[in-house]
Amino acid sequence: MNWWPLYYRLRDARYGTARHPWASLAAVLIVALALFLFGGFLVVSQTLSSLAALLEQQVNIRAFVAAGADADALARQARQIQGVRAVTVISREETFRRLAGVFAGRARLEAAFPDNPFPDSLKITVAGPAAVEPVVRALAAMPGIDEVVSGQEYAAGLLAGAAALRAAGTAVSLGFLGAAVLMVTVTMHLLILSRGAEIRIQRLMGVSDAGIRAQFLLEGGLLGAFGALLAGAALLLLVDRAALTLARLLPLGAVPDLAPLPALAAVLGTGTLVGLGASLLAAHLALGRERP
Amino acid sequence: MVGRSRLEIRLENVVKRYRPGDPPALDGVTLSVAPGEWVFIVGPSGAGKTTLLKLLYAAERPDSGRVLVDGTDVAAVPAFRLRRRLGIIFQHFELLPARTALENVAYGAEVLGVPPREAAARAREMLDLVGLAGKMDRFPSELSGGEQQRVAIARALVNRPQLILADEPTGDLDPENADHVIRVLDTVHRQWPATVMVVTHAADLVSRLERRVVRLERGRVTADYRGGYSPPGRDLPASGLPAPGPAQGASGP
Repeated sequence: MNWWPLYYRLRDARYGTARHPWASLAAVLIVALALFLFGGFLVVSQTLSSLAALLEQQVNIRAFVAAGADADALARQARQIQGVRAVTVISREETFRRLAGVFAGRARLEAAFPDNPFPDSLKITVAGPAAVEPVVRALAAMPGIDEVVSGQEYAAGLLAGAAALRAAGTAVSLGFLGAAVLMVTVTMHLLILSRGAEIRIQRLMGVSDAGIRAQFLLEGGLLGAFGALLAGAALLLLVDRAALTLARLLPLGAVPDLAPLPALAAVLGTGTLVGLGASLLAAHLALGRERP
Repeated sequence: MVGRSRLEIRLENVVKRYRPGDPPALDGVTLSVAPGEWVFIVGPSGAGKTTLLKLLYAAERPDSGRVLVDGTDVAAVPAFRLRRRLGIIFQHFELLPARTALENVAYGAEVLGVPPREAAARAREMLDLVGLAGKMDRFPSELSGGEQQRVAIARALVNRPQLILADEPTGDLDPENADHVIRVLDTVHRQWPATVMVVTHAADLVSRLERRVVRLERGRVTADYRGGYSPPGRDLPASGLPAPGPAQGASGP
């Protein structure tokens, strides 16, 4: 196979971009910015989804006992529900003690709430994630149970949040990607117009139109790929920081897996496609008018 | 020098209009050029000389009639395939200012994927052929007009074309350089078995070489001289060449 054409194309790409370094840099940066936003939204919505999945795996349910109800009697009742493995009564005193334990100014907390405002509660462990929902329904139907809280409720909220974020992210990313396509198109158009003499010579020497366009597709693809690499690096940094922050903030005992690889692959692929698409458009606009 | 087969050219009743309703740029031109033959195409501005050349390198298509290069209808093959067998030279040299003479010539081979070493070797050979062996590393801005045109000729020859088409190759040059460029083309033609077609206004150069001269006027072939004529002035008169008798291989009124 003759690799020299590729060598010449890469060499000409270097010459070409060097002629308009600022336009090329601006194109790379706008691609990087658009893809960073795109990838950022992808990572955040993915994280929320995996957080929701994590919550859905939780098998603990908390049921708060209504004022005046007998917590021990309710616990006995709860043990009869199908799918319940264990029930522990946590008294209102215990809840207050646990809460106060995490505050440095415990004395002040006790002074502020001389009458413990917390209700008694039941900590219910179920056999598996599938049993959470029916057990929650059964508990909620029991007289004397005020409120039932499970991780799956939060999961549903998170999933809804992730979906909303995905929609907003898609709209914002599309806007920025459109701007990136426009910028790369303008840059490639400039690069093509500045090489009118080379293009005329190539046509006269017998280079096909497809061969001429391939040069600019390569250059546009490279601009897009460079922008995508920049965005990918920034995204990795963001994911690294986000993982640390989540580990500090989330009281879940486990941080959801921030897997940036799918987002990175999407960013790199999209960047290259943006470059290729924009240069195809620029080549169509510029070379369509060219006469041999 | 590598010998290769030369191309025959035939135009059969070719008509070309740029816009409907306009007078034709070429109006029923029929012309044959034998393999290895050198033909000057002369005539006043707007006579259709450049259009004729454009049809030969497929930059334009005829409205009717056929343009045959080496027996193949130009309309039936992709333009780029045809052009790989041609060497095309223009009045404006179309050199790349940021490249040296050697790089400009080698570029003509590189764009077709010739490896760098071979492209450079071919470029040196061609620059030597056009008498620029000592100026290979000069940039176009460091060369005279005539030298720049010789670089352009070397680039047109670098892929060993079988048909050389030159459109006013001396149009931008003073008489001395114009003479030099035509002598270079003549030297090339003597060593290189290619068919050559040169469009020009320079009557004195045409008369000196004693080659076939085809005269076009208003898109028609009005005369076809096969060597040896003396134009009355320095430039060919708009009214036509001295009549040598009936045109050979020509059509028209």
